[in-house]
Amino acid sequence: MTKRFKKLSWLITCLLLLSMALIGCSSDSDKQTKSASGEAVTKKGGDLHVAIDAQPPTLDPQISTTTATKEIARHIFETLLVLNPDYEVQPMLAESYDVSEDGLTYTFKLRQGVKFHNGKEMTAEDVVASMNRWLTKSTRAANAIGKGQFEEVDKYTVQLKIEKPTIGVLDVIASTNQFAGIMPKEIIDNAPKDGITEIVGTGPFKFVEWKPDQYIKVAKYDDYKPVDAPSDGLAGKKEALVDNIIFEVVTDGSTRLGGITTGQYQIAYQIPSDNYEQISSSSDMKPILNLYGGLSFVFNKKQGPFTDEKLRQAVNTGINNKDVLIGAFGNKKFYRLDNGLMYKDQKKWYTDAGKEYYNQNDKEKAKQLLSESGYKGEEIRILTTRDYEYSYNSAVVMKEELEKIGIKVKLDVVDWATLTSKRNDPAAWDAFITGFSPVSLPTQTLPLDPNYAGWPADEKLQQFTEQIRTAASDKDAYAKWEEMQEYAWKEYVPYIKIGDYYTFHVYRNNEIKGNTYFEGMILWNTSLTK
Amino acid sequence: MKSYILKRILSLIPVLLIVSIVVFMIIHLTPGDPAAVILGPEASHEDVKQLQEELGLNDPVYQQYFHWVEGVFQGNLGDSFFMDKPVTEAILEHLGPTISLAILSQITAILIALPLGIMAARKRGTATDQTFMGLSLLGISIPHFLFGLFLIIILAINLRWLPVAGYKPLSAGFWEHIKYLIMPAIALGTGQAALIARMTRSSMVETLNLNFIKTARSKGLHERKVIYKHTLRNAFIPILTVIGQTFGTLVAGAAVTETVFNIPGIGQLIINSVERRDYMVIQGTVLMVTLTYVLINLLVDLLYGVIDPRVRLKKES
Amino acid sequence: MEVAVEKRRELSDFRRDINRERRRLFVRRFFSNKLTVTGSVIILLTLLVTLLGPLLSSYTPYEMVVTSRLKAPSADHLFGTDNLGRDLFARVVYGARASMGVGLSVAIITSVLGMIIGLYSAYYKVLDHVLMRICDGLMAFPAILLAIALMAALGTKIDNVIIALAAVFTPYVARVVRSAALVVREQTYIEAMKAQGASSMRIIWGHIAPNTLSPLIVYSTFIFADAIIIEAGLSFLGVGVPAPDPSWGNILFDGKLVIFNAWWMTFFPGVAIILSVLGLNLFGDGLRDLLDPHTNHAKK
Repeated sequence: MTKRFKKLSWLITCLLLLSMALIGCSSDSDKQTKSASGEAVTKKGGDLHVAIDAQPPTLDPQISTTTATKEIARHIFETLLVLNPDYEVQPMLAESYDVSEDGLTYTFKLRQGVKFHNGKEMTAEDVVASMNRWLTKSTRAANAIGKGQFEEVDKYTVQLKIEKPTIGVLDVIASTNQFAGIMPKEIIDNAPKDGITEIVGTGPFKFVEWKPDQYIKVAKYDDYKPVDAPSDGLAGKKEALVDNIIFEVVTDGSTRLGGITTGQYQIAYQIPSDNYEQISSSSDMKPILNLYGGLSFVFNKKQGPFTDEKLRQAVNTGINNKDVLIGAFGNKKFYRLDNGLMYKDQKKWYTDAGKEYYNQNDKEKAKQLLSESGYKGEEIRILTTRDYEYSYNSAVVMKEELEKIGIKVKLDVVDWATLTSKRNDPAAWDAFITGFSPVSLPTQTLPLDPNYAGWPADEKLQQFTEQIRTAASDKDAYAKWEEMQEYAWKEYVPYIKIGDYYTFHVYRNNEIKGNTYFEGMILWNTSLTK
Repeated sequence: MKSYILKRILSLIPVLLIVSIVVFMIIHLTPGDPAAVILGPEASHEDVKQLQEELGLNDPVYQQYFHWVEGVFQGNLGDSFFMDKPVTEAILEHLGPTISLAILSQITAILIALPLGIMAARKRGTATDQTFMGLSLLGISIPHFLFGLFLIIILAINLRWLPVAGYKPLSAGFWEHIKYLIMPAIALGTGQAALIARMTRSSMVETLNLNFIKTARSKGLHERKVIYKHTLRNAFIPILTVIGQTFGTLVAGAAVTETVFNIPGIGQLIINSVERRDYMVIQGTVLMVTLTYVLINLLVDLLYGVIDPRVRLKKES
Repeated sequence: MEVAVEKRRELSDFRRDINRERRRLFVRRFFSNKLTVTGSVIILLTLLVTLLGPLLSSYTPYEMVVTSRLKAPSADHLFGTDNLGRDLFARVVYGARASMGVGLSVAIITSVLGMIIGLYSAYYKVLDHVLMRICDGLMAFPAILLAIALMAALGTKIDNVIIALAAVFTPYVARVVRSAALVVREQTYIEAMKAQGASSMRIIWGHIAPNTLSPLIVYSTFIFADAIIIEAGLSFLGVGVPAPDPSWGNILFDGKLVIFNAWWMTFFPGVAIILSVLGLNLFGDGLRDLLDPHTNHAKK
């Protein structure tokens, strides 16, 4: 070896040693902060790092039904009404509300002195502009409210007039997905069609910066005026206790897990369920299990083999729901066998009507039904995507299950964007698998909507929907809903709710406190501890 | 020389034209559209249709193409459907991580490749040579992303030396920045190193056989001097070419590795944009990447000429 | 007459002897290079596994036992089980079919297409300009990105993987064939044939094409290897071979999600990819040394 070469290799060795030493140092210091944070002391301010699993397409809560949009936008925008953890309607930007005797006029008194992040005071004109825009954007709103319109009464009062009385108007206004965030009128007037460009709301955090595919930063809004009521879910007092929240877009599950384990983030959304045991056995991390929705197998009832009711019944009779759920979610903490099309947690609407038709796992009876049906051995195309791993995994198990009862299956695995457009074409698929998040009214259940992919244009179903919508009382509506659900399981089978599923978020319990969860993470009243 | 450069630059125009047409065709053949992605999973079909109309997605494809080309000539690559900003801005934001990673990988590659290549050339034919060349072939045979996954399992999950994945900009501190790039840089750099090492070896071997080296040796010059001063310098042009080419591929060819390590670079921007059907971003980024790629190749060719006049003469004739 | 036949026989004997001798030399040199032999052995083994797959495992790659998910390697499950409780050994072995199959098909298709395009553009100047600009355009894309975009457009199907990869690699092959063909085209005997009025068909396929074969064979070995890598990359991103059919990249995709819990899901398919690609590269390298005297010279 020549001298020069020796020198070079020395240099490389030194560099390597140096870098190793640096690595060593950094992990040492990690350990130190861990031990030092043993006793939790609340700290004012600081930055909260949150790893979110997907980049939102927009921060405009009124136009997108995406979860990522909701999760971030709820810290920036507020609604007239909100839900508490028992799904009860509470006032937020409205100080009070009132429904007329005939059920046709809803009056909202606004809180005074609420300021937008741009310094302008929120008044009736902003609320009217926001709410009317939302009515045109949200299908659910249009569904429940129909052709209703908001009008300004005076500077701090607005009124909603609807054509015929219906249940659930207030629940829809308070709903959390594609929510009715209030924003300044000028911004709405200038908004392009694919969403507002200026993110200005009234919430405890104001929008600062969005670096695509990297992070979205929101900061404490100093002039925020909390409502004078104890904090309860989305309702009550909100206070920003950290200076900034940085939502880091980390699309890969194992990266989020790695980051939360090493303390790079204080909160990580949607950790792969196989890591649940690892997290729950750790002393500095806590999992938050949350109901995400119902895993559902949606039939195409407009075209193809599944237009045959008997065939749909055969599938429902034959499958082992539990196996599908294990395949999709693994750990039994992550699924719940339950046939309620409204969820068990939604006490007001939950019913187990038709449960004898759920999870029968009766292959013989299924074969019987199959032979009675018009099925002639056609290949069933199940549309699924790997962008949502549970959808794909459950499709794989469903394929197995269907083949056991003698139905031929082909999986059509596409990416999410393709799936959303393909499912609108009745000729392109026979069934698809997706999750449906909870909705506030049974009439908003998407797979029961005759216009939604799958097209359950069944007269009887529509009758039920209409009866629930115009029921004289909540009790009558509930009774009708029980009947409707029974009918859905027993006869028509528009889709199979395979089961409820949960996802889990993780937070570092020795670094933050006060964070709660209701249909999404709530990060106000959350502080760093040190 | 000038006319040569001019000719080369002019010859880029049809290439770029073809690239843009191919991309445009592919994109519009792809099912799915940005409107559905923006509105989310539970949006109704009518809403999606309405937004499509409003975004101009229902215009004939050729019309959209000409509209876009017109913009490009005015230096406007259009706006992202998804990110509320011009495409150029989106590209610039994603350029930093990619460049950092490319530089670091290239340094890793050169640090590994040159010593190995030189050693192998000096001991050509021996067991050392065969071992080194076998190793370099192994380096070429491991897909970058796979090597990355192996590194994650060993260095991040078992030893916990490095973060699993992610990215911090340089503004977060030098070490913070480097820490996240070590594994991807090794993963990418090793493959590049193999290519460079092989070229170094064969170029060195060829030069070592030349008469002037034999003369230098016979004059009793120190072996070290022979190797580094005379041989390496004269063998450097092909080596430089490979370095240049590998650098070109690093800018966008690292897409899968960027995904493995969750680095928000150009490669990931393209992959994400394909997923989101963010047409404008795909078109703009691919155009930029192609341009960079061919420009780097052009630059390498020109450097070639600067270093070695023989090449220049040959090319001009 | 007699004499002429005799002579001819002698000549053909002589030729046969030369050919035999050549072959013997080729074989000897082939086997004298350890790396090449290693490469060939690896490829043969992989092909064997690909063909005999079903006999090697008592499990099928689709059989799920959801209750035995993510089991570490054991005597029962040699490579462990995956996230749906399927036997990983069976999946890796069956995966060889998809991965090797795609690689081989792509190598063959690109050779045929590349040869046609390369030969004709070497022969006809006008065609050359058009075809080579298109090739330049396609080659200016990084291969993986073009493949991703094509897969998004075509949809995930194994046929489409082959189509996309063929589209990606054909320009490279065409380039190689073209440059080899250009050298031949300039030779005087081709000019002479042209002058004699030989059909271009005969010149191209009878005289130019055979001379491009050896670089083509070497190059398609590398295409085979590259196609395996890119297929793995595509499937790893979820746009390659459609599930639930196993391919090595597909298994890696599933493995990435559980990389913290199940190293075996990354390790075994990973090793399979490396081995097969390494085998092909070793083989191709050796073949090139054998067929191309220039690199031989450099090696000595």
